[in-house]
Amino acid sequence: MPALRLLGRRALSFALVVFVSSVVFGGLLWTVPGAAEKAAETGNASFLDWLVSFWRGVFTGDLGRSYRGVPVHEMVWRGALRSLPLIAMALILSLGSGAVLVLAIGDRLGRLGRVLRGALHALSLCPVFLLGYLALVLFAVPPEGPRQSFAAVVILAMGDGMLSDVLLGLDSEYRRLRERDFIQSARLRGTSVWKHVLAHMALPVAQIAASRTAWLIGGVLVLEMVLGIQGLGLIGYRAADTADLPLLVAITVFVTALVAGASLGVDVLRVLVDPRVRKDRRDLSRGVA
Amino acid sequence: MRLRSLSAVLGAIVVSILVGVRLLALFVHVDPAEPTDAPLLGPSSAHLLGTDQLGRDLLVRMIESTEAFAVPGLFAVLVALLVGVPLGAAIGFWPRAKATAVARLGLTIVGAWPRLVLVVVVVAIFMVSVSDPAEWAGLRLYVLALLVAISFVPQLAQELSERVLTFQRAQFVEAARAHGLPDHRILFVHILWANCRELVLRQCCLLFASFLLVETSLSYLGDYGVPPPRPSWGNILSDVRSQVIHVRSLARPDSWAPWDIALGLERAINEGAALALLAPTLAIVVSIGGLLALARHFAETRG
Amino acid sequence: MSTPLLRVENLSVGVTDPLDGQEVVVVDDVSFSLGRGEVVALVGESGSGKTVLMRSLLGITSAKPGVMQGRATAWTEEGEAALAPRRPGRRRSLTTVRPGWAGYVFQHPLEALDPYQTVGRQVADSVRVARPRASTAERRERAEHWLAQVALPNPRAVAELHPHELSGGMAQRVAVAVALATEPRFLVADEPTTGLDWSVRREVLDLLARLQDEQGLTLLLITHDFAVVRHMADRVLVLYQGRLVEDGPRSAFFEPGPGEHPYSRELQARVLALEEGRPPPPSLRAPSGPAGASCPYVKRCARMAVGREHDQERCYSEVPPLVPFGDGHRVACFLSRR
Ligand code: SF4
Repeated sequence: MPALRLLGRRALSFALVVFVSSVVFGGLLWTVPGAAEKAAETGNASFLDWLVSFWRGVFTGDLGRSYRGVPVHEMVWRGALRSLPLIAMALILSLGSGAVLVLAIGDRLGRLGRVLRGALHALSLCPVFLLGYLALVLFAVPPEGPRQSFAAVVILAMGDGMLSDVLLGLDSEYRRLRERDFIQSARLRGTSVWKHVLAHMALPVAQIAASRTAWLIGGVLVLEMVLGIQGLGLIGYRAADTADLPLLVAITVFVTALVAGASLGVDVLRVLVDPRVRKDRRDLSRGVA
Repeated sequence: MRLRSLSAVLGAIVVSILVGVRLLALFVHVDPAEPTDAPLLGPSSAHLLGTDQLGRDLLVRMIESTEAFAVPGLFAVLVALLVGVPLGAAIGFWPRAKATAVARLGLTIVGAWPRLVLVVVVVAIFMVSVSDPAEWAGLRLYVLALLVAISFVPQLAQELSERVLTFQRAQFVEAARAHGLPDHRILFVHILWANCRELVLRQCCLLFASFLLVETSLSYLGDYGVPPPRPSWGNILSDVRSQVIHVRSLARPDSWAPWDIALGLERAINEGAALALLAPTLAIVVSIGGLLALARHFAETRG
Repeated sequence: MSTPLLRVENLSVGVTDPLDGQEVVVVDDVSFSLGRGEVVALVGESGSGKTVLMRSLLGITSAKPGVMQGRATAWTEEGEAALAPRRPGRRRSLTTVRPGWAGYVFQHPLEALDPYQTVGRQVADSVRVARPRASTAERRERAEHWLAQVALPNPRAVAELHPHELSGGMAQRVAVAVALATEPRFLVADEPTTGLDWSVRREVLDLLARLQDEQGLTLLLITHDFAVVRHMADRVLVLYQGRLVEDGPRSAFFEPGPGEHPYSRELQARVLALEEGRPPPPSLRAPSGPAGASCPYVKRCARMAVGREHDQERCYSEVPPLVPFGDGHRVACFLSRR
């Protein structure tokens, strides 16, 4: 099964990425003066000891306590519950509005459509922190509540070039797809074109989403600082201030796993939608002919 | 055609303005800690953009802000080129070598680190580790640049290696090989120089824009960007934050109606903080926009 | 000529060059008509506009459609359907006549099939166009019928396959089945045999000939391959640089004589040479784009070179119109003689 082999290789690479990241960030933080002594207090005399206990903690769900004395897994969990929905909603909003603009509206609006897109591109040039700041100033975004979440999602879906990227990516994919003979053939025959379009856009959309995940996490970090959202970014930023080893490593590894997991997800989707990966060509056609 | 030349012209204009302003910064240098006038003055002939909340000339600070990203940004580009180009070229040129697989894995790992997370964590470690943070403050921007460059290398190497791989199999390369041209000559002259120039230039523009983004973001947040008395477009914005938000909160803060927003803006302008808000905003958007336009131009000049 | 099926009058297609934004006329003032049940071959060297002509007629255009001028009229079961000249950006084509009225067999069969869907589903989709009320089971059965029609062994198993699992010949047959399942009256086959093995070529041609006969189709073959022309065509259209230069019965095309267009002669000589494995006779490279108000072929024309001076002048200063030349034969050359 070529598909299983591919997925196996990708899963292995995912595990490696996460593990090496824990070694790198753990190692870096280990060099901070005082970090080794603090770790020794919790019974980890060497870096290796610490690494082993960290990974044991990942699987048992007990990552020890941060320098402030709060259990690490609790803080990460609390932050993630705040930040991940924002990231997910921003991705959905951005891809959704991109899809509407590119697939549904397309060239249909003529000049108005071009102006609209130009304006969105220009807005998308703004860094997330700037949009957050402007939102604070213009709309007086409150320090909590649904209005804040709404503003955060819109800002994340636009800022740091997010919407621009999505629009350009979807546009070029759709243009390329539209010219392909099988779409033209469906159009000529009068069969449903959308069935083909949706199936063939799923993978590019997922790829765009996965490639933007890392950016979004950076955006969330900044935005949570600007708007004062108690999420992963804010917790991480504060932990960085004190070089809080257990908390920082946990957060960075979590975030890395998120990014690597997104691209693993794309591979899974590829296997699901594309029969060329799923089936081995020669085995089957030999059976028929 | 028209779009391409338009983005080229826009990009070129913005970049030359940036260069010009950076050169200008060499001459307008004043002591950043020293107030020159009363705080939050409106525009006048003495202060074209008025003064900020500590009474420093806003225009001078805007100009000096280019010091925060121009040279460190170029440094980032240089580092990324020195690491990313050989790496990408090698991966594309010897796609089957064992070392290539290792390098690919390395790039995947680095590529999974969100840029800002990497920057914040490492700069924080750097600040905690050095004995006297104030003394190292100037170096901080270069550490920042180094990190942005590192986090950019996977992207650069990936695109470059894909391009090199397509050419590695191209006919003219086969022909050159048959003529007995050595590998390094084929790679450097016929593939990299002749066919990957625009791609690399495009990535350079993107990297520079990305560095500008990271620098202004962190300067705005405070702890890891430009050390305070020195100006950055980011910290000019954050300096007037409390002022602006205070003014806005006077005008019905929980209403999102356009007229209330307009009223808030009018108040802000009257209070003199508006320019400190507008000038850096425009500067950031225009700079990033120009760099991206230039990147787009390079993307379209070659396949 | 039998009952007409399609008439094209003064059709021109312009395409904007993506590099410099200039408009290039790819199809220039072409008029012809097709009779019901006819097999017509459209020949010409690559870049002569054969594919663009048929594709824009059927509305199979790339993202930036060219500007189309002229008139095309189709006669269908429901009556006459006129097609207005198409403005840029607007999709209006023969498909507005009735979905599935026209079919197209694409040059690369694998590109014309959706790689994500099974062959059976794609044929069944076409069936739905012809028989909107058929149930799923009926559609599947009908799809298998079409797969059997194109001489695929074991159609039930083939229906379960994805396009990438097919060989070239199989894919071409499936593409034909997909096109035929909408039960078209008019089928265009774009280079149906290129890219196939010699043994398979013959089979595909026989298949097309049999189906054309059985279904009473009007078949238009875009081709380079004179074996196809000799084997199947009733009539031959010759396109040179976007202009129709000859339109006549097959016999007139293959018989050398003073009546035919000199370009047809050259084309045959080159193809014959290629088929026999000889190097083709040298020719001047055609200048790109029509050369203004002169015969488009003038730079390469052998007949003009030996003609009288008065006639040579005409070749350089006027575009020869396509004039009737006896019995359904039209030629665009000043020096053609009966
Ligand atoms: S019109 Fe003149 S140039 Fe054209 S084909 Fe006839 S003889 Fe040749």
